[in-house]
Amino acid sequence: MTTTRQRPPRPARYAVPGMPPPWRTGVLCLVLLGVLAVVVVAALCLGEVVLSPAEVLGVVTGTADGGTTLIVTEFRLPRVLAGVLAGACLAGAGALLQSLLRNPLASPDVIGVSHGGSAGAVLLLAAGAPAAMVPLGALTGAGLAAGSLVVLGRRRGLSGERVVLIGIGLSAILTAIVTWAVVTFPITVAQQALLWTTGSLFGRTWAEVGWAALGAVFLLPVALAQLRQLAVLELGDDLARGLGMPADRARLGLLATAVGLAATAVALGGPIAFIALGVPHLARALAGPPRPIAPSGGTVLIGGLLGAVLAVGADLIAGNGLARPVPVGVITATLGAPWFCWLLLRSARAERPETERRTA
Amino acid sequence: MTLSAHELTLSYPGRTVVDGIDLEIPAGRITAVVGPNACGKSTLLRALAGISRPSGGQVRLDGTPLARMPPKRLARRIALLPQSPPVPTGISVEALVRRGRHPHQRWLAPWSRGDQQAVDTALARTGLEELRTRPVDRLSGGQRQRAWIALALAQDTDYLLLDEPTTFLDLRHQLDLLNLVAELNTDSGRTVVLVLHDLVQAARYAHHLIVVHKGHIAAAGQAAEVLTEALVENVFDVPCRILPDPTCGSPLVLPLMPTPLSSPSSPNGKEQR
Repeated sequence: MTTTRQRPPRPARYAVPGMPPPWRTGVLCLVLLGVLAVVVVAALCLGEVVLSPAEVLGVVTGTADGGTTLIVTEFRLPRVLAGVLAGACLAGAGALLQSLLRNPLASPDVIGVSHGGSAGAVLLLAAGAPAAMVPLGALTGAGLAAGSLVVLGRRRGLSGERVVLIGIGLSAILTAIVTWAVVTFPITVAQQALLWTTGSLFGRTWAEVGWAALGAVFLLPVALAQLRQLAVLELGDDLARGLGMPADRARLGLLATAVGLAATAVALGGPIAFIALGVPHLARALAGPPRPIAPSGGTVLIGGLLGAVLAVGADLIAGNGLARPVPVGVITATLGAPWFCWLLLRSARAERPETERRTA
Repeated sequence: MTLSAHELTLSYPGRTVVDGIDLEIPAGRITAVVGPNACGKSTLLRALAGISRPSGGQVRLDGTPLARMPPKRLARRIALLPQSPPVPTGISVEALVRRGRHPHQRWLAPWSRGDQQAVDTALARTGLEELRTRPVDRLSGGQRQRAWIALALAQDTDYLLLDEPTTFLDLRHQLDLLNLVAELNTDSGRTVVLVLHDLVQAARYAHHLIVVHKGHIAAAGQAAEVLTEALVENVFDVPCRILPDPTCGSPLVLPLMPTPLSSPSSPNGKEQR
């Protein structure tokens, strides 16, 4: 059954018509890399001791004095890198989850992973563990929350709605645990716990950053490789199976990657608000029409960079912009939420007339 | 090249939908599966495509049970179009049709010339070349159905299984779609299995008819032999007359009017003007 039909002439077009053009993605990535570099340098310069960019550059070339080198490499650089990693991982996790669960409001917060991290960290703090153990507690908590989610949601093949509902239930339980710990334990513990559950990049160490970097370097390429599966899953389980893809297994794999990314970020900086929820939408808006829900490699890269810029930028404001330093999560939530609302309103307004034109 | 079911039993938890049936899909022909709602037609079609696991018996392709074939290899032989798959937003027709190449692609392998050729052929075959960059969510019902068929064609399989492809289409688009299916069958010898609701269309377009009733096969064979007044009354609970279709000779099922409505002009209503 061979078709001896002539191949139609190929019209001039981009690599995948109807997907954001690759040059736009490339240019955007370069611009975002530039912005990230600026934000990172600014974050290295600003603080209690203000350094000039030349002094920071001196640290790189090894010409700076001991004090400057200490401030940059031991205090500021780990914190900045933690911001980059946490932002990128959260953005990646959000993009995967929103497409996987067919829910534009999905994020690690919704499925209980962030709350699991918080509960793990807070319980460890309450038990009197040293601060260095807290990320490990967060990682364990996030992992346990994700495990319960899979066990409870498994029966109907981890379908979107069910996972979201179970996640909301888990979040409620875990929030109750955090509140209980904050209310019951001494005020110093409560304060530390509250700081942690808001999302803070303060006082990150090189060891923590190193582990998180290892996680990100492993998980982000895995996420990119799984995008093709995500696109097929979007067609529904029956069609996906008909195309030779075991839908349940693919979904489990994607969920594991998303949870891994989220857990890495949460262990590093706590549940920094808004980034996982908002960045995928921003990345889609930036990447240009036709804005597919299933992320492409391009939108994941844009999202990762954007997440990094936002996390480091927000941390910069949190540390220097106010009378007293506040956790980064306060800034992302207060600035991000109105921006997000505005974006939703604008896209709703932009889409409505087109729909009407279509039906007319 | 044969696709056949042997003592096939299909069940959902607590309910047997298809109960130990045997059937064979004639190769290179169009087969229509008809039957009343909830008789197990769609379940049967899914099992024939190998996407649901039988609780008893098996479906065999060239003698190999489908359950024992690797999913991608199976997907290179049989394409299934479910009844109303979710429409992805923000992707073009071509991007949608490209997803039909999934079973031919390997892990991380780039998009090949053969893939593009299959997509171009599928778009040409379904008359969607002009619309290839149009977002799928902006298509009309008929165009969208053709886009789904194009996706199944890009899969480049011997078997094409379509679950109620004409539902939600108006008469013109129903006929366009069925004509397209008939062309696909005559031009390239693809074996087509369709679930249809309209008995007249099934009789006109299918070489082979399978009538499913309460999880069993009530009758199978050529439409002219299978469709009898007794069978239609028994399976669909519709008393009818069957006449030869004056346009093509296939059986034409005409339901009888229930007695109170026997004449449309009878003063049956309350408000007479």
